[in-house]
Formats: sequence, structure tokens, C-alpha cells
Amino acid sequence: MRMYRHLILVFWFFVTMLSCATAQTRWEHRGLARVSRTVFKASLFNPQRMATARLGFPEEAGSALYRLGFDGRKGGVSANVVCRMMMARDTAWVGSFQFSEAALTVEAGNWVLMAGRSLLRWGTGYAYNPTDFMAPAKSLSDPENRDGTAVGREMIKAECFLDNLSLALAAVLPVAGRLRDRLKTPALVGRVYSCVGGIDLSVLLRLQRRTPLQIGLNGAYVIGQRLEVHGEARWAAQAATRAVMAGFQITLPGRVLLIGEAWMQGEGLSVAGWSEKVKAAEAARSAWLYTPTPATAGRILSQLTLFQSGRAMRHYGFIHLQWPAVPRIDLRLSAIINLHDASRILMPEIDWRSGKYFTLFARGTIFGGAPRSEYGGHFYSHSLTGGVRFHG
Amino acid sequence: MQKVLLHSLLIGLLMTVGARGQVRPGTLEQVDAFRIPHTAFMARTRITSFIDSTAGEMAVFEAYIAGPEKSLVIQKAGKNRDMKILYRNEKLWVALPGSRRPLRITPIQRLMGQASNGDVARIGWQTDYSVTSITEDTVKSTACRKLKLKARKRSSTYAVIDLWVRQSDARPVKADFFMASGKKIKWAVYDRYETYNGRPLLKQMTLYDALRPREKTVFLYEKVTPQRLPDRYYNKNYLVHVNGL
Repeated sequence: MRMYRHLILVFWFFVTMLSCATAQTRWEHRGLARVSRTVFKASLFNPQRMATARLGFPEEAGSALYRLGFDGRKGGVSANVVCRMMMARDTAWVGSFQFSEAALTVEAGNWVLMAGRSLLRWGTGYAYNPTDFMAPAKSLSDPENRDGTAVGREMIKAECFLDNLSLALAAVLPVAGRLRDRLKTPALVGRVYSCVGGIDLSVLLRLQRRTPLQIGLNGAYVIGQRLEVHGEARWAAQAATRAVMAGFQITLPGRVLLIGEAWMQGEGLSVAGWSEKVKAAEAARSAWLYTPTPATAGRILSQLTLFQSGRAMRHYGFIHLQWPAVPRIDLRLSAIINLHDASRILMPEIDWRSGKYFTLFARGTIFGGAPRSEYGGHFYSHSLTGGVRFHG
Repeated sequence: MQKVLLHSLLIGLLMTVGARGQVRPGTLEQVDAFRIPHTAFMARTRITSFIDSTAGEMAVFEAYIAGPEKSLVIQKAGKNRDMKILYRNEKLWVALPGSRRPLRITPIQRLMGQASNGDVARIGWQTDYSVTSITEDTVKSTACRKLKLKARKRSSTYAVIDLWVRQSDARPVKADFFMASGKKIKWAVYDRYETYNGRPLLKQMTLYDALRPREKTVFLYEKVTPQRLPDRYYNKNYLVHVNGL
């Protein structure tokens, strides 16, 4: 299966290269090199900091990523390939190569047909998108995918563009090899979009064998010159699959951009469920304190770190502030807030554009909250990441 | 003498009707002619931001304008190269490079330097603003008419614009931009014009931030060519397919 997948990708790569040999082309280079240092703390899930110490959680990590993008067009045929080479180190350096996207598109009149690996983002939200039926979950420290880590899925898609209407239908194939989100059976997703009364309105559906039908609705609207509001809702027969998100984006005086979102989802733990989990963690911690053998102690510590997983509960809020303080320097602050227990992760960031091609950045990640809360009980205290982005 | 009298009479008449909000309908059309050479065209603009006289960020945008209600802007150079901004019937969207999702945005949202999305995606004033008054003024010894423009649409980039145009030919000279609160946020100087197809066309404009006097952003209109894109290019969801332009 793995070999088959690589053959498909190599095939796409050569098809796109050949088809665009004499076409209009555009190359894009992006690079990222970063190092990070993490400080662990003694907490509910990390008694006396022994879990992170004994399980070898690295305090220092580094990675380097190079992303090469290629767009080509000849007449009504276009190709898009984005590949990513990455070297990452936590305990040892590991290299990887991946096609994030590789797709061939044919346009005929108002129709666009696409086949290959592509990212299908249909939501209106900034950080959380319950109607992105077939897109990878966003990283909350990089919702805009500036680091280029998002990877698409294999699909065949047809879209029709009319004046104020667009229709899309995609068959998503279970080829992708990422175990975490590999599809078990093919899925069919569709979208009808129109702008009605100034509101961007999309109705979406997802059909998949052995999975309940999912229906989505999303919209976005601008009020006046500064404020944009947006929302998404996903409905399915199973309550655990339902989710709703509402958010806004406003430009404040001083060119400050503020984005706020809140979401409620069926999956994740309720307050009672979280209390049970905390009790289980406390029991495990007691067992660890009095455990006789190192092997058993190690197992309990490992279980404790698995207990907390971030975004474990149901209702969250997200705030993002972006301020171009002085030319070339942007200050950003993102915060994820667990709406059940008010625990939070704060992520301040500073970007400094140096010259034409480089941006230096430093980002902090600070976990806070009551000892028994999701982020307060986390085994991270804070971390600092610094690095450079290249955009050519 | 007759000419002076006639002129004064005309100005007085304009000021009178201006107070009632009914100024000559052709006024802004005449002003826009200095920035809009065709009904459908491509304009290549180089935007550079400065602190004092030191150049900072630079970006190049190509705007494909199709009449007063449709424009597609593609960033060709700079940090966000390949970013696309779509304006259609009072609405704005952006597709960021590397992102497969067009986002709805507001006209005042910052693009770069002192430039907002609306400054690049909207070129003409005629469809977005109406003239509410006209007065006489002088800018650097040039006899001007000061037009007070009020937004006709909620989506207009600015609530109010004070626009000074040369008395002789309605060529824009400078402008002050205000928010709905009445606060002046930017001002512009229309620096340079060049002849295109036998008539003068704006070549360079400088935008100043009212709150940061040391900063300015220069718009250099490098190239203009008549060009019309197929209609699907102005559909929000087609933005992710736009390439090869």
C-alpha cells in the first residue's frame, strides 16, 4: 500500500512537470528553521516532574523545513505540486519527504475538474472549522499554515462556477498514508455556495459508508468597514459529531486586528467526565508514589501523560491579536481558553522581517490554570521557540 | 470680467446645490478618469512603505478591474507573494498564499504599510461616494475645489473623504480620509501624472498615516493594459484556482 502510494505521487509529479514544460510557471520556495526549549512542571499529570523525566520528553528540539511549490498552466490545464522536506530532532534527527499537494486541474468553460492530492478547506473560521469535512485539523499555534505543515488528501473533484453560485462535489479516496487521519472508506463531500443578502452562505454534506450523514452550514458577513462575523455548524445523527462555532474579526484603531472565536462540540469530555479523569489521574499518581517496581512506575507515568491531551473537553474560546507595532515588526498574541475551567494557553509572538526574504520570529507558549484544570494540570509550564522563515 | 463673474456664479451655484447634496452628477466621473483608463484593464502597482526616507516593505500588485463592481488583485512580489484579493459587489475576500480557503475581509483591514485592502481593490470613487459639498481652496498655490465625499455604501473603505481637485481639469491633488467617528486616519498626495493614450493618468500617489507622521506608503502605478478576465475569476471560490496570470 505504501509503495503504491509513493508510485502514485511520483506519477503525479512527472505528469505535472511534463504537462507544464512549456507553460506559464510559478515556483515558490519557503523555508523554516527553528529551535525550541520546553520547561516542564510538576503537575497533576507529571508528579514531581518524574513522568517527563523518566519517559525522556525532550527539553530541547529543533527542525528545519523546506517547502517547494510549483504552479503551471498551459491553456485550460494546470498543475500544482507542493512538496516538503523536513529534518526534525527531539531525541535524534529524523528526515522526511512528503508531497503536501500534487494535483492536475482541467478547466472547461465554467467547469473545473481536479484530480490528485489537495487541501479542501471549506470553512469560514480562523482556528476551528467544523465544516471542513475533509481537511486536516489546524494547528492552533499556526492556523494560517504559515509553516506549511498541512497535507492534503487524494480526491477527484468537480466544481462549477456560475455568476453568484458555485457547486462542488469531491470523491475523497482512502489513499493517504497518515495513520492518524486515514479514511477507512471513500467519502463523498459536496458544497453549494452563494452570496445571499451580503452573506457568504455554504451548505455542505458528507456521505461515507458506515458513517452517519453529516450536514454543514457556514457563513460570513461584514458589518460596516471594520467588523466581520462568521459561523459554522455541523449536524449529524450522532450527538458526538455535532459542533457549532461563532466568531468575529475586527480591525481596531492602530491597525490592530482582533479575531475571536468560540466553539462547542459533541466530542470531548463533559465537566463530569473531566472530573472522573482527574480522579483517575490522582489515583494513578498515588499508585506511582507507593509502587514497588520501576517497571510498574514507568507504566503509570506513561499513562498519566496520556491522560491529558489538550482540547480534551467540549467548549473552547480562541483569541488572536495582531499588531504591526512598527514597520517590519509584527506582534501577535493568541490564546486558547477552555470555557469549562478557564484554563488557557497563551502564545505571544514577535515577527521581524529582515530584508526581502527572511522573517525572524520568537514565540512563547505558556500554560496556565487551576491545578485540576486541563491546561493548568498539563505537564508543560512554558516553551520558547525561535527561528527564521524564508520566503522566496 | 465676464468670465470671472460667470465663474463666481458657477461656484456659488455648486456650493448652493452642494449644501443640498445635489452636486453635478458628472463631477466624480471626471475625477475618476484620471485613475480609470478603460472599463476592463490590468493595473500593476508597486507599493513601498517608508519611515522618514528609508524604504521598508515593498510589494507589487496586479489588479484586474472589470467595471466598477469587480476587481481581482494578485500580489506578485513581497512577503505575501501570490496573495489574492477579490472585490465583488461591495464584498471583499482574500486568499492567502499556501491557504486553500478564501476569507471574507473588511475594506479597512491593513494590507501593508498604510495601505488597506480597499485602497488597492477599489480604484474609482464614483460608485462608492457621493459629493455632498464643493468649496474653493488652494493647495501649494494650485487653485482647487475641495469636494466632500460621503460613503454611499456601508462597504466603502472610508466614511468621508475630503478631496482636493485642480480647478482647471478636476485632477486629484490631495485627499484626507476619515472614519465614521470623524477621525482622520490617512491622507494622500497625488504626486505625479503621465500621459496614457493621449490623456493624463495617475502615476504615483503617497499615502500618509495621520497617527504616525514619520511613515508613508508610495503607490507607483507601473503599467496599465486593457484586459478582461472570464467571469469565473470573480467568483470567491475560484480564487484558489487562479494561477498563470
